[in-house]
Amino acid sequence: MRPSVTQDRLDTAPDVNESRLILDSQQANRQAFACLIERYWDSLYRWLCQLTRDTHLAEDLTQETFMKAYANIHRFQHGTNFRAWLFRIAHNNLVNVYRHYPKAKREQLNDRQANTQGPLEETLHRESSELLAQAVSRLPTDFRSAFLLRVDQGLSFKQIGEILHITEQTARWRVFKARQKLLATLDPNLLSGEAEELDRS
Amino acid sequence: MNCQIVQQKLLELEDPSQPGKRLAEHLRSCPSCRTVLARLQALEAGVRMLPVAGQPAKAKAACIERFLSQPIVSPSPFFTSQPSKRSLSITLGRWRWAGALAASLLLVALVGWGLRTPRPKPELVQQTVPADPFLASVVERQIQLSRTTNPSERVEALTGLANDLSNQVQQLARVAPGEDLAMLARLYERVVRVGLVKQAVQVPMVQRQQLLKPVADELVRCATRLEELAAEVPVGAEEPLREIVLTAREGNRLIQQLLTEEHS
Repeated sequence: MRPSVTQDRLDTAPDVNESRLILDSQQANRQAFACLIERYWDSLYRWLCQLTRDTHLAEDLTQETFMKAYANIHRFQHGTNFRAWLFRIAHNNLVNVYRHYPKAKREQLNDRQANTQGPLEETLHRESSELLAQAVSRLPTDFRSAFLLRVDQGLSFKQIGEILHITEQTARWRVFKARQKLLATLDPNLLSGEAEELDRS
Repeated sequence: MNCQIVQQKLLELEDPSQPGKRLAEHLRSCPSCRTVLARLQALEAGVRMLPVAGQPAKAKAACIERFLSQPIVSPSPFFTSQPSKRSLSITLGRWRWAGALAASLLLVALVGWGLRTPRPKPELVQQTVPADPFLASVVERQIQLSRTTNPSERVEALTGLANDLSNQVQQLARVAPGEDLAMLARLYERVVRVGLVKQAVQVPMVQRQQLLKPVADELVRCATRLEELAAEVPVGAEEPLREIVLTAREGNRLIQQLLTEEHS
């Protein structure tokens, strides 16, 4: 039941249609905004789930983010990136939750292994997948957050900076550190098959 | 460029599939750096393929269904999933909604008066009454305001809205975060100062005593109640309550002036 990242990225590429949906949403057209929820739910949930390691919390935050986005859709500026705007709202929600969340609970969640049960992973590199998920989950939250926005969501350093309320340079540095840590942590053999293939190509 | 610098620059790339001319030149002749780049690309491809737990498709469908079937203004039914596991902050987050909603509704009303032009009724008015009592009352007030035709009616509607807000603050004062109360306090100030007092000025002299005296009394009662409450609430909640007290007293003072004008 996991979202297909590739498909999601294709579906969510900003286009004329999206601008129309946003304009209609700004005219209180709920069907139009429902289409935006449909488009962005998976990627937003995915990011929040990887940050919180709590599916229920991620679901609640995703819902709350969309509700807030709808309530403030009139503030969205055309010509800017809707995905980045949405993720900024989500990030603000997350920060608010963490302010009230007991630290012990957060650490417990961060220590929890990602649930990687799934038919695809059982047949394709399940072990590698689990090791990779663990390595990502052990990254400091700031690094993980920026890294996933770059790699998983395809956002630019500038957009990541806007979402996380940091400079573009800091966003670049966080992604750099996350990559550095992951490459240092992961067994070189883990990615060797894919790496050789990529190198050949 | 030596390999150490190249490899650092590779990790700084926004898109590792586009290393740029200078890096590409080095990569062509350096198997070691090519391996680093290939590992980086494999890592990122692997991350994009990582599964996430839960059932996002089911949750998404449920969310969209609720969003389309419920009134926009009611966050309560929208947040029904897993209430036992929801954090306190999310539960309290509803009140931020309430305040934001009330603010937006009020803004619609105030702008409407300012422009004095016919406008289509906002969709909110056409919705069913939301489940949350406070939100329901705010929507009712907005409908009432949209139907007013003179300052006296607006004073009545705004007095009701101010009372709703102060009652809501009293209910939340011990549990809501200070920032939520501060938002309600700002809204109360807007309702009283921008709305109520300005409309009261336009009330005909002959109606003032009958209409404005009860309004002034209500403002005094509100100030007294919240001043007492301010001494008992947690740190952070006290200040917004005192702001409301000041607003209510100032509102009362200005309305008393209008009543005095009438007598003189």
